[in-house]
Amino acid sequence: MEQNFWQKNKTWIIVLAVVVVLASWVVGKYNSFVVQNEGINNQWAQVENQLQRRFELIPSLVNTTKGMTKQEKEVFGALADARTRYAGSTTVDEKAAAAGQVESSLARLLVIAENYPELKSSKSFSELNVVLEGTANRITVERQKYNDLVKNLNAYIKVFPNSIFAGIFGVTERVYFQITDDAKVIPNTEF
Amino acid sequence: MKKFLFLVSVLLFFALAHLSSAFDIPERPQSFVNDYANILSVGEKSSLENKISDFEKQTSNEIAVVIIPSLDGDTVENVAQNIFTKWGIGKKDKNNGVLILIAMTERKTRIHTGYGVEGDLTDLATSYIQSEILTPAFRQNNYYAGIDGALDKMIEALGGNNIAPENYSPAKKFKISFELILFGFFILQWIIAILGRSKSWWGGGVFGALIGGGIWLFASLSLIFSIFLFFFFIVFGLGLDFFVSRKYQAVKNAGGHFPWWIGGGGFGGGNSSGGRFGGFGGGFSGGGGSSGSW
Repeated sequence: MEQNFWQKNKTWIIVLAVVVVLASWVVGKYNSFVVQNEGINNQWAQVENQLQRRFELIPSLVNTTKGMTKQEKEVFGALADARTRYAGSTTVDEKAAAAGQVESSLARLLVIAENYPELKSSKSFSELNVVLEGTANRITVERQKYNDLVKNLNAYIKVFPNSIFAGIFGVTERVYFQITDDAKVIPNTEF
Repeated sequence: MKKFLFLVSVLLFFALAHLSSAFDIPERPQSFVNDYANILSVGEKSSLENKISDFEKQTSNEIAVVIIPSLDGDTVENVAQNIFTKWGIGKKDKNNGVLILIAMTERKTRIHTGYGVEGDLTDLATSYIQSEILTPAFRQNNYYAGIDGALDKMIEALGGNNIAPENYSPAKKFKISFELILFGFFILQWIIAILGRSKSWWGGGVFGALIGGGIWLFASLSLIFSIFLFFFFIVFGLGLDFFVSRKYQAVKNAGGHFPWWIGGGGFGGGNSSGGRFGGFGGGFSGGGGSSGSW
């Protein structure tokens, strides 16, 4: 009896099998796009957390240094500007640029602090410096993780046949978090 | 002299093997203390190992001590992060690992913390441990005393608040998966019993296709592997059904006892418990901690 069932419905069973295979394949693609994009969003939130953490240290750094470095008004102004810009930025590129500006102002401030031995040897300043270095490294690490995820997705959606499905589902390349050149200057803050 | 020659040859080996300026991370080890520069004696190593191992058993926190001959041109922060990521120091769901990295040539140290311990072992605390304990001891070539003192301080900082829940047991995870396997086995036996009783053998192919499709959909494996698995399960199902159906008929015709897979019998399950440390648990780090030098 089963042989008859197979013979009668042969075409339909084959068509059904092919449809099931194709559908599950496309669904699998779509799901992996979604999972990767969510991973990137989540990692970007980590990057922003660490940037936030760094910016929250700025007021105390300013307070510690301002008393002794009164004449260096310019650098404090630049720092405040960059923070405001970061708060107002929305895209990854804008945030990266603003964060880069904060970094370069911070670097300048720390270089200036080198010229004030009294400041350099103060306990609160050296502790603050440890914490600042910690946040800088955390940002580097999270940024690296973010960029790795972006790299994976961007490569994934460019390969055939993923490129076709990416087009259909409207999945586009994500933006890397690039550091601006002036932020790459690492201040020498060894004691 | 022999020791010195060995050290030189190790250094030379590392220098020659890594002319490109990036530190090559060793494979994930089976011990907490890994001295690639041969600074510690065997006794010192096992004493440190026991201290960390006891602490791991009490709190599940994992501390790795790594001594390398050279950073090979990389920064100490980078190397620490790469070792941490590759080895997965700390338990996977807690990220409660700490890495003490010591680079001999550059005379640099770093205490690198996992996500889960950042609150208890702050950057300031790690900086304090390095400047007050590691650096003074290392300046007098007293590496063991420095590391030992640093471990005590870290255990003090971590032990206070980060004690694992009472029901923590490393063998627990295995038990769950074992029960799952047992469950899967009973399901499989049940299906075989059905397939065996039906004379035809195409049902096994459909069953295989369902399993293959399910894995494809939910296990997010690579495409080629998924297709391969899919067809593998179809062929496997067909073959299995063919085999069990024929066997069932044969046994039925001969009037003997059905084999175990047709249904009926049961079996008891054993349980094993982990003893020694079998490698790091897969924790992550967000780059916390601080660096020092001596």
